[in-house]
Amino acid sequence: MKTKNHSIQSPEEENFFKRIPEALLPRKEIRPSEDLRDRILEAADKASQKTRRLHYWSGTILSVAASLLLAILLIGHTPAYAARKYFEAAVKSFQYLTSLQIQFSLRTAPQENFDYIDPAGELLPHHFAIRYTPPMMWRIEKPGRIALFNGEACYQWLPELEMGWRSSNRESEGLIQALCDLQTLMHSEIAATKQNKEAQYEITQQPDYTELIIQMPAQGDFTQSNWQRNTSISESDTRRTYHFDNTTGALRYACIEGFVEGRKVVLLETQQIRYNEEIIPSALDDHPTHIEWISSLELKGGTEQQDLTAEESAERIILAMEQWEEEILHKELQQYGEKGYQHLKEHYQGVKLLQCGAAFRSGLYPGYFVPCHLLFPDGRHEKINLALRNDNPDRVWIVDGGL
Amino acid sequence: MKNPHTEKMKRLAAWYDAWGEDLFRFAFYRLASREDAEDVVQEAFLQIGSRIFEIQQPRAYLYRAVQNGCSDLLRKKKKLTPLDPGRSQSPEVERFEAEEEAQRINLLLDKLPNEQAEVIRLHLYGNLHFTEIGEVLTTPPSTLKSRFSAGIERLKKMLNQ
Repeated sequence: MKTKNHSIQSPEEENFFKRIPEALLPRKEIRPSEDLRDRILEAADKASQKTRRLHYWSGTILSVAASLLLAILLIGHTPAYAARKYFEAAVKSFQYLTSLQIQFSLRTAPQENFDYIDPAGELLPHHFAIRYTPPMMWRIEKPGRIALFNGEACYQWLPELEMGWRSSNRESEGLIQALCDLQTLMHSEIAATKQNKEAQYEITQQPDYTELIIQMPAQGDFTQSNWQRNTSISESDTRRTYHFDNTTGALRYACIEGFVEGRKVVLLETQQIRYNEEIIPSALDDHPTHIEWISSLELKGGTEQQDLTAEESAERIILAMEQWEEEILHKELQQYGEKGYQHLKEHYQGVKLLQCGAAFRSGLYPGYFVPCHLLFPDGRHEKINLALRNDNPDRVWIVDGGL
Repeated sequence: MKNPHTEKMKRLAAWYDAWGEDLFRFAFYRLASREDAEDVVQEAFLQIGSRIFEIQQPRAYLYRAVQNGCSDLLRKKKKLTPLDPGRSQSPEVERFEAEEEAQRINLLLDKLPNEQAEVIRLHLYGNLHFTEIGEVLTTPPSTLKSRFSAGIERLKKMLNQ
């Protein structure tokens, strides 16, 4: 607050200050409550607990693509014959593509994997580019995370944290797979027009394009899930809007809105779709060399955990943190890489497990969440939902998020 | 490696320590209520917390968020009729005086065009220099100085009448 004792930055400002009428200068000092800082930090901490789950390379808690496909396929029969021809025309237009670039927004969190969607999150800009001419290459970027396939290997990294994952797997999954192969999505829509009873279709002709709006109700009863309930596309009522070019039949625009707790939320919206423009391979293959690359081939769990339940596994991990038992934790936390491991050690060493709740599943996530109540050596308490999955050939539990 | 959550909390704490009190005062002299001002400041920090790694100018963002929060709250309050206008709900004399002071200043500033009043508020109570106000309002400092001077001169005339 400016007072007569306030530090003046320049003579010019002093001059300004002299001209201020006394009436504008408060005669009473006011300060915020002593605890405002703590209240703010506590509220921010609570807010981030809701979404504080870093899911790494293989984590697919909420697969946008799978959700889309489910949303389309799981619903009954449809009378939407008229809509079908637009999807069929779009499929044809995709047949001879040499490249595709899509700019879109997705409601998510910056560092989460590309399949993560959160209706309460920010609409973050994404840019996807794919070159279909051999060798096929693609790249996707959003603030906080980048992934690419250069024809030989996949790289995915978090620039700010200077860590990433490398895999020789040529098969993309989730959202990236859907973007690489838009034909599959269109085929799914075609299938829905033949099967869906409850979807409502609305077609509007515009001079250059045709707008097709599909409204679909939620499928299944997901009320048993107490985590991320109704937050994937397939678990919510959706309204999908497509624009098809009247000349070429190509998809020009797509928007998916979800109805979450009675509120309409844009989950995904394209800003621009560009076809067959030349993309220089080096632009797609640009990845940093200075960061720690974790190879997905190196990820192995301990065979001793095969017979454990998710709760037992969570308990074993947290208990190992108290004395920081390297032998156990190195295996369990391998998804985090060496830097991440060291950071977790700094943060969690000495922590005590006060309570471990019943494991639960949620949405499309293939693993389990185990609620754990932790006590830190400095007296702090923290409640986490440890994400564990064992959908690997050895059926071993690996920490996938929640820390 | 920086843990995103720890990093976020660290940044929020540092930003509060650097600008929290000034943001509060800025809000207080707009809303004339400690509770409302604290709520608006807290909301601004929660907003920036949800996108902490995207924001390039955190101070400007926070001031804008507080400014918008105050405007929204005042708009909502206009629709409600106070039960006992002119009296603070707070029993503490000191706070009552401070709130009265803020009401008095607001009565003066409300007589100015909004763009002039906003610069004066940010400068006097938000403790920002003109270059910093420029970042908040995305307006050149020279324009802001003109607005400030014009507002001050106008007030002086009113007070002398």
